[in-house]
Amino acid sequence: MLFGVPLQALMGQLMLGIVNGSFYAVLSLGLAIIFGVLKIVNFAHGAFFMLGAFTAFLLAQHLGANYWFVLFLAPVFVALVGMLFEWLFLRRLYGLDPIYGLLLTFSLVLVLEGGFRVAFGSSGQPFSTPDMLTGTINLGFMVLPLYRAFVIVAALSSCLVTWYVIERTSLGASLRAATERPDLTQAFGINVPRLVTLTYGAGVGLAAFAGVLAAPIFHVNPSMGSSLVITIFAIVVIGGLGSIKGAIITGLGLGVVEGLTRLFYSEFSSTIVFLIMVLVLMLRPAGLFGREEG
Amino acid sequence: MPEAARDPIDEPLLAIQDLHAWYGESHVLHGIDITVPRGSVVTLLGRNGAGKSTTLKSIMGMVPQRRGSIRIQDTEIIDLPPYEIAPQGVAFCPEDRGIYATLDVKENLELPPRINRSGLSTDQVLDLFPNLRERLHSPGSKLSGGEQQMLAIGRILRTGANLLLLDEPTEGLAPSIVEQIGSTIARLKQQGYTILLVEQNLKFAMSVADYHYLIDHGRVVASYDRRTIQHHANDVLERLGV
Repeated sequence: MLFGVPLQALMGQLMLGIVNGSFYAVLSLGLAIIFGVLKIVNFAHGAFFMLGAFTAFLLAQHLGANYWFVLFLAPVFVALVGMLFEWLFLRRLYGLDPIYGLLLTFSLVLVLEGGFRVAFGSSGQPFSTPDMLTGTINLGFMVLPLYRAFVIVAALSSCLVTWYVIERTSLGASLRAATERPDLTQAFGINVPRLVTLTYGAGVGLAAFAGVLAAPIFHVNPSMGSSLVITIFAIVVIGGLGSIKGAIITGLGLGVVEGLTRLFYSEFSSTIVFLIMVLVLMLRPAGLFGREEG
Repeated sequence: MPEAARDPIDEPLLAIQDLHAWYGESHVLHGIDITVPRGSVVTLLGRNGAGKSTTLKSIMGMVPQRRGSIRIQDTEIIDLPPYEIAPQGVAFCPEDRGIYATLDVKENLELPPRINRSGLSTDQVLDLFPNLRERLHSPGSKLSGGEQQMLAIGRILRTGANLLLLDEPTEGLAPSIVEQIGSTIARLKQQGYTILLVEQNLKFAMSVADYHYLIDHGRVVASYDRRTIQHHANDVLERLGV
């Protein structure tokens, strides 16, 4: 017993919190990158998460594709869809009031979710865990399902790789420059519009990657993204809009906080993130890792 | 050394004709005509708000709306997307130096892609401005004004551009650093670079430039060479409102 709670239950919720936190981290990271470069609040982020899961579902269950292949291919496919969407529609809204971007991406949510609901119905489609990752690991104090351990490692690795590319490579330096001063960056001969398209692709590709990872845990259904996306917005605001490090750390941390809240005061677990958001906005309006402007 | 050094000095490297520019509703440039001969240093003189910086920004495609003709060598660049202008052999150093706060000194230095092989290496830039070597991994925001200006100039020397657009490189700097910038510009000219300079400091402009254009209300109102500006220095000072 620990804090009046059985150790097994505590560890179980902690693990669940870390798994959810890993999803939050990947999703809010993508959202933060997109906001940083495009200055657009990508309301469609949850829809791309769902699209990733459905792409994986269709490839694996209908065409019998291998899980590892799907884990790679589905995010790439969704990234291409995202880039096409940016190129055809989103780029017409740069420099306008952010509400236009919000409305356009929200309309994409309605189209995608509606389309999948017509085609597959609202109830979930099961997606089986890859054979290689079924089973459990006994850690002594708890039993950890192998697939969940894999999700944590895969999600956090993708965050780490993204962070490395942005903070430590010349491509990342161009991206940071384009975020800070797009007009000057273009004057140096850097193709900023192409960088913007790639950023959107990478951001929604990350969402799709999370979607594929989530497919065996949650049922694959058209609204699986919209229930997540509001929490993700809150996380990005808490971490500091556009902050890469903030999105990753806050995502993971709040997953854990949410998990533990479920254990100690479960009625509160779906509200806790928003309560923290209110507190953070009152004390540090730019977010935990955000830079104060001006 | 850039190829420019081998070419005759009076061939225009940059020719601007009837350039108009707008910021939203406001018409800022009203038909600017400027010629910059290859291998020369040319200054744009004028008061604040006369349209000097806007002229440089128009060349780089940083002004939302513009019309007229801007030719580098013989290529018309006014319709090119902004990121295709630098590869024509031009590099820009903005008035506020344009140092990125989220990039460290090395990243700032190596950000602009190289246009050709004639640019300086990172090491050569650091030899030119030794102060920067010690600050290589400091964020751009932590540099002094003088260091920022050195970084801004060093950064465009790496690209291999032979036409340099410098917007008030001496503004707000201590006299000793102004002198250093002056001798750097003289050395760059010797090496064959062509430089278009926006300047408010007439003494500095006269010491470095071959030709001068006086700009007022978005128009060229007078032009001088090294000799004629000596005779009109008082008029020019009056026009500059000094």
